[in-house]
Amino acid sequence: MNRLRGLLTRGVWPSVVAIVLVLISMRPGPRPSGPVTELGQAPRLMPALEGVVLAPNIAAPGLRVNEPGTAWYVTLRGARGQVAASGRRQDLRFAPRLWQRLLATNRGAKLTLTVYVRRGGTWTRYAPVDLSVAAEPVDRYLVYRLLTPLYNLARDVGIYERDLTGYRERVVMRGRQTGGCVNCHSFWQGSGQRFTLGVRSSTFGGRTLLVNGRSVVPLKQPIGYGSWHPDGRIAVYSSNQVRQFFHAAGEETRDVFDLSSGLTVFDAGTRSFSTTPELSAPDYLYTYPCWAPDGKTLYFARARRTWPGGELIPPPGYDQVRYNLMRIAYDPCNGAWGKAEVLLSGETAKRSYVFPRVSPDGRWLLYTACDYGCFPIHRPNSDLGLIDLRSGQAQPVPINSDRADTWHSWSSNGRWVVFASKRADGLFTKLYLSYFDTDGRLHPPLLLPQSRADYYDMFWHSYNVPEFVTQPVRASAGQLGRAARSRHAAPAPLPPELAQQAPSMR
Amino acid sequence: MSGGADWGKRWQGDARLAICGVVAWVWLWRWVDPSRAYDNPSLSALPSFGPDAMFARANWSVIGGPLQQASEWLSQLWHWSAAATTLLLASALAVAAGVDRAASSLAGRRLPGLRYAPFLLCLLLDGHYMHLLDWQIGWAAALFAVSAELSWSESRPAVRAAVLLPAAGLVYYVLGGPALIAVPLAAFGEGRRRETRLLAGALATSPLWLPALAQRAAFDHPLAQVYEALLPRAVGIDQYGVVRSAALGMIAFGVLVGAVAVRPAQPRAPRPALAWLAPVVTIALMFAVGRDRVDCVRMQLGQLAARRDWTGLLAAAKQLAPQELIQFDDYHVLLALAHTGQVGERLFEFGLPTTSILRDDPRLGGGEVVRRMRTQHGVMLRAVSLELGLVNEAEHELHETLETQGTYPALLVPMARVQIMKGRPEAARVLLRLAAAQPGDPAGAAPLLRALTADPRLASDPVQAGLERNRMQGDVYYEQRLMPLLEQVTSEHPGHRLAQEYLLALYLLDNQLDRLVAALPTLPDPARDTLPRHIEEALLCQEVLTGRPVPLGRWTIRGETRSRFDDYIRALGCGRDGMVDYLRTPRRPPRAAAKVLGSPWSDTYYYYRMFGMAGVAR
Repeated sequence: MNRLRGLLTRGVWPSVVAIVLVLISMRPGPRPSGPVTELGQAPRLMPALEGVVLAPNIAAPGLRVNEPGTAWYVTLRGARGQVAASGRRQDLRFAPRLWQRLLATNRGAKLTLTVYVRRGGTWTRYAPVDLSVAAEPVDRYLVYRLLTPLYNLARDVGIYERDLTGYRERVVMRGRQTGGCVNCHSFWQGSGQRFTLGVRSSTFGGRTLLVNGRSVVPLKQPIGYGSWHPDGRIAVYSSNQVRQFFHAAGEETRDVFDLSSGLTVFDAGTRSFSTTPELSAPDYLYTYPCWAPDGKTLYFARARRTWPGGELIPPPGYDQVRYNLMRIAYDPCNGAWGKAEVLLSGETAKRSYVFPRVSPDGRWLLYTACDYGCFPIHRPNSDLGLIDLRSGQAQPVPINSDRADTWHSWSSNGRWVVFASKRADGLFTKLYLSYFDTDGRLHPPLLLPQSRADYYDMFWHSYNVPEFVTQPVRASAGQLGRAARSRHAAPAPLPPELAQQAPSMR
Repeated sequence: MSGGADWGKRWQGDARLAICGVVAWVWLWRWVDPSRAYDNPSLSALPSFGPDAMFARANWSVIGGPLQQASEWLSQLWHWSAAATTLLLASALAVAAGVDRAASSLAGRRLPGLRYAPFLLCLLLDGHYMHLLDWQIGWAAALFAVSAELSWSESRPAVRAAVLLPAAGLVYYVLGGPALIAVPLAAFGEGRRRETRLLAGALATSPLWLPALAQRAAFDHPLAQVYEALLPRAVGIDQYGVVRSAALGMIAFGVLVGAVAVRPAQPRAPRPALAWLAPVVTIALMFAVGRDRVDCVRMQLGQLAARRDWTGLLAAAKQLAPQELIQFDDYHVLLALAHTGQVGERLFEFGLPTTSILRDDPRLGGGEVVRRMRTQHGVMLRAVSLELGLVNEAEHELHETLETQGTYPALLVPMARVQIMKGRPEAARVLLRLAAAQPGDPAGAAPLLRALTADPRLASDPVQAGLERNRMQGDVYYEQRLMPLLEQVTSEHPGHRLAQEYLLALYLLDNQLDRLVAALPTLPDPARDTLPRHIEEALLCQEVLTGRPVPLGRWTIRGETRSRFDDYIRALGCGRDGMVDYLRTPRRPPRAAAKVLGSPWSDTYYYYRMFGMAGVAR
């Protein structure tokens, strides 16, 4: 008895338990041995990897082999090296360091994924899955909003920053810091150092946070979707009177539209807003501004408003509102605007074209097309569209799904596109990374990788407004929260033409 | 010898507490039935638990989050009454033991009677279905933490401060508001020695500076919210602020214990008879004021509704007088009447008002108020819109409630059914996995999940098939009002009895007689031989109002209903012409009303129409 007590007090048992646990964890995973049966079909994988182009710096996705068995073994082989993962559960993980080394040494080359499954004591090999590694890396950080598929009331909406080379997800700011909602974020030149962030709170009011490094200046004026001019002196924002109503039947319950809207120019130097008739005529709805990389053209979406003023919800003809893709010349030297012109007519095509995003080289314009309105995420038939601005020709986008695909954004090198899609389940929006080659082709996308394959199994949140950034956001969540709650926010009234259209709901 | 005697006394004291505990267990299990709180989270504030990573992350990023996470998991065991009873009793006993331990550490002697006070307080809260498991566990943990501090023999002030101040921060982070009970005891303990009086001051004032420091350093929340969280949130069933008063009472109790403990011991002759005083008083108070009859029935109604025992629900509702029924009860009773096809016969027997439907009543305020109210009641509403065939409306309601109230299995499963109906089985799987991962899978989501793998539309599932059968297809704009939706769904599915019953209730409660007459071909159950009594009464009123007979089709109004109506007019003494005026100005009682108030007609439509209320006195 005394001896046992002595063993316990001397800490022998904890050591024994620790050693056993270490030995168990070091137990080698199952590996194919003996005769292997060949199966001609490709394995079902989550995430799907067939034809995917991986960024050379992307983190390894936790992989699920959706094939029945008792043990699973996967190899990913390139011309220079290979990595394997195995286990007695369908969810597998590649060792991060080996994964990174494999991708780094196989930049611009093909990879082959081979899946083996043990069933009844014998191993089966599935048809190999081809994928490849791009030569160009993806921007290291991705900033997005995470929320449940909410309707009117929100408990905690947050802006998060994900390091794509690993799995770390950091809070940029959460709605609960103000008891409200955080929404549109707009970065200058893809830098996390300089951006604006819209905040709405019933307690503290609507704010725009003007962030520059660790400096955060609150403005007493909420804003909508925005785009910074490349010179960083001005930014253009939409100002939308957003309204929501509900369909009693049909696939999508929610419907959102702009009762009125216009574009406004924010001068970062004077911290004031102005507009021009070409961007704020009362007979039209304007939204989703986007600067060309040379700063000489502004792209946006515009539709003719089919209803008079007032609060008719839904307004007559709301489902006939089709946005055109527009562009307008801008002279950065004197701040003069040209005449707005139609780039792609939604009225003619009976489609609504919204959310123009120009590639960093200025050649390609990616947009979303849907049946009507300006909220494509609520329209199941939303698809991405692509225009070659050099030729003016539309390009095919083979990565669209039969569910909503939208909220796209370019990486700083123009080789990667991130977009949000409901393709996985029709309800919870997830992010996908697609490689955009020099010929203007989008390649099969990769679901935003997570360390565990079961990450999305119980994930009932939706991602939206993803934006690549090359440097992380430096301002802390605390700084942003304090600025959003500050009583000393500087007034920055909208121009009178848009004062009625102050952002009201997002 | 002295040590042995102390041990004997202690054992006897613990035995008395244990006996008290056994009685309390039986009382809780037999007369309170804590599982009723599980089926009434809108009233009891029983929290949801999320097995997903985002839920845990949200919890761990707030003060008191770790305790919340643990208690939210444990709260799901409330589905089983015995488990809930045992946990409640264990937490109450832990609080009692914590007080005993802390007081003993502070006084250097035992103060055994004190522990019965918090024990009783916990039982009283539990007996009134105020779900404060996190606070009860938090109080116990804080008391044990402070007793460890008081027993610590280290005497160097710098070392004590270097350990205790960070420890106070840690305890505050883990437990949140419940940690306040430890503050006076810790301050008394440190204040006994001159060298640690500064530390005592720092600890005593920690509720002022510690939340602000934590907010600034790590948890950026509005400061007002941080201080507000030092007390419990309001509980739906607590109309008098008992919950907050209890939390303040516990802090005051901590001050009292500290003051008693630091006083020098008075040598007194032991009086064994008094040893039973505290347990006996505790048990007596527990039985006398431990539960409230109305609250008990109210929670029972919610539980019977969750279990779909409609007959039992109507029987239980008769225990409450019409004036005791609140909106929650009205809603449940209407649900039971509609499910049993008795709206036309008994709607006014229970005196249900228009708010019973929880919608379509201007008295509830504008759209935002209605939305918020429905959200708060959302867990209670559960799947009624879905059963009515209003799939999109159900999705809307369930989304709002899931967002604001949390991932209750009672919401997740109907939401999964909505997604299946919309051809999104993958989304349904996500929701069912969330439900199945709850402790014990109380909603039975795992079998549904398995069935879904084989059959993505769950076509062979009778519940799902029933929902599909009654699904509304036509899109109408309805601005948050139920009536246009019910008219649409009943026009598409005339045989949908639940929707017809709800529509009938709406017509009657909202005095929509023209609409009722128009819907007469489909509104009553075609299997009936006679019209439901309330429809007959409404038609009689319509005859009086229009001055001509109502086209009844195959129906007739029974003679007994007519003669009862005539008796009513005679009792009012106004004649048929006078009755027209009364019926045209509903809810404005005539002078002659005194003659029929509390009369045998108080369960009729015309009585309700004239007075805006009804119900049979019980």
